[in-house]
Amino acid sequence: MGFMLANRFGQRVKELRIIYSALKHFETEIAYGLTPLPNAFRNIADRIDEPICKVFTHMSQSFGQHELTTTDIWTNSWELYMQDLALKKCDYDILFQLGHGLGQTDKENQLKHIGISLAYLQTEEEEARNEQHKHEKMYKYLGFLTGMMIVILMI
Amino acid sequence: MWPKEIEEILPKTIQSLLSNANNIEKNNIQEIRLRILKPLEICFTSNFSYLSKGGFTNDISKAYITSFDDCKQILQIISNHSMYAIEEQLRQGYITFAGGHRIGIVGKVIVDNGKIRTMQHVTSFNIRIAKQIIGVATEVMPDLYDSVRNRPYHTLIVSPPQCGKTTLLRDIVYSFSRGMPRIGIPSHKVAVVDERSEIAGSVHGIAQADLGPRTDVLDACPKAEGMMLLIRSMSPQIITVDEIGTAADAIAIDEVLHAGVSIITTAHAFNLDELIERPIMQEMIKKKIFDRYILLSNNPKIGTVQGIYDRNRLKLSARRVFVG
Repeated sequence: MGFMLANRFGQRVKELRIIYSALKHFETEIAYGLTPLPNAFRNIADRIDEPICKVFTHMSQSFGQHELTTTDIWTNSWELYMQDLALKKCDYDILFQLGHGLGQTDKENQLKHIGISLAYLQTEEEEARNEQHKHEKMYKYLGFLTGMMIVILMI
Repeated sequence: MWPKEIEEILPKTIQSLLSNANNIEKNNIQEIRLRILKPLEICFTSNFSYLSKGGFTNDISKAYITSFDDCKQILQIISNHSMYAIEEQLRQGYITFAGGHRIGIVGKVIVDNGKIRTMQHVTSFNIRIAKQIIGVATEVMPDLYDSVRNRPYHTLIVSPPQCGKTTLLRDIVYSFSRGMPRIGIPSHKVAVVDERSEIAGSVHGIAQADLGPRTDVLDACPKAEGMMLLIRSMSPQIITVDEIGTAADAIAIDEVLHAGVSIITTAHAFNLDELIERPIMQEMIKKKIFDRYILLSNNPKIGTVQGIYDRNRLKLSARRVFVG
């Protein structure tokens, strides 16, 4: 139990890391390739690790339906995989914020939006790392101690 | 034939309205015009009507009103959810999509240093259906080839707007590229400078129209620069450009002539007299640059060849009578 909780903190750091690099890729796709979103998301999905790559694959496949807006596609995809991810609400806030202007403005504006999200993600990641260090040990000890206690009690 | 690509870019609501409409009339559609919160207009070859639940109508009160969401969806579809990717086209005011069809757009323009930077809040769309009619040039082709010197004549197509100028040009390109052995025209290497992506209707650089097997298309390139580039890089026998008229074009055309390449091009005008009033055209006509002028009109129908004239602006049929 304790180990699982501790793992969750580590997992969040890892996921934030992947999202950060995904957005970095996204930035280059827009800046140098002017790649349209469906293709850009597919390229990103090919280059990043699980579990985030699932989200981007899903996004790139959702563009066929005409009545969905770009923001819907972005938000829905993240919500679909929320269960599998260790991200917190504040992380999703950053992502959804980015989803609002997605694809609707010119290149410079898009890059600015992504830049802002990247900066937020970085602070978020640092915080997550601190938390990880602080809590990981505690949860591990706690888990270990509870285990010991159960063993002692049983004896 | 009603092109499928058009339906794919329309919002579902309008798609279903169109599927109710008369199929025969649908084939005559030239333009679909959407204006925000205004009746949806359909332009045919010679008249127009509105689209309603029961098909085409002239009763404005029954017409379908284009909604805000329709406009938003179309923009999303044509930009592939990525406005940044079509910035350059927005600046030009139109977008070419699969099939070579074009959408003209207007909205609020954002200006930067006196130049259009981008467009926001798009409120009107004009979907123009591209038609390639293979064979429209067949009847004029014998007059465009110099069988004595074995080379195509330098040709200028003169036409008012919307008279099938580009359609004819496209078919001339196709015919020269394939060659017409039956009337003694061999196949040529043709290069096209397609500044407004109109002749080839390229999407991602791939020509949507069939311009023949030996045609190279330089897409979205400014005409004057494009002509020079093609002479250097592709060694064509024929260079084709659409709508010449500036001084830079004239200089480039001079260069093309000196390189021994035949030029086929077009200009906007209602007749040759009007054309000669334009200073740059006047100079070119006086220098007898063009060996053939093809005059088009929409009377009695679009694409009617009013006459073919020689370098001295004498009507060919008249000259034949004279010579004969």
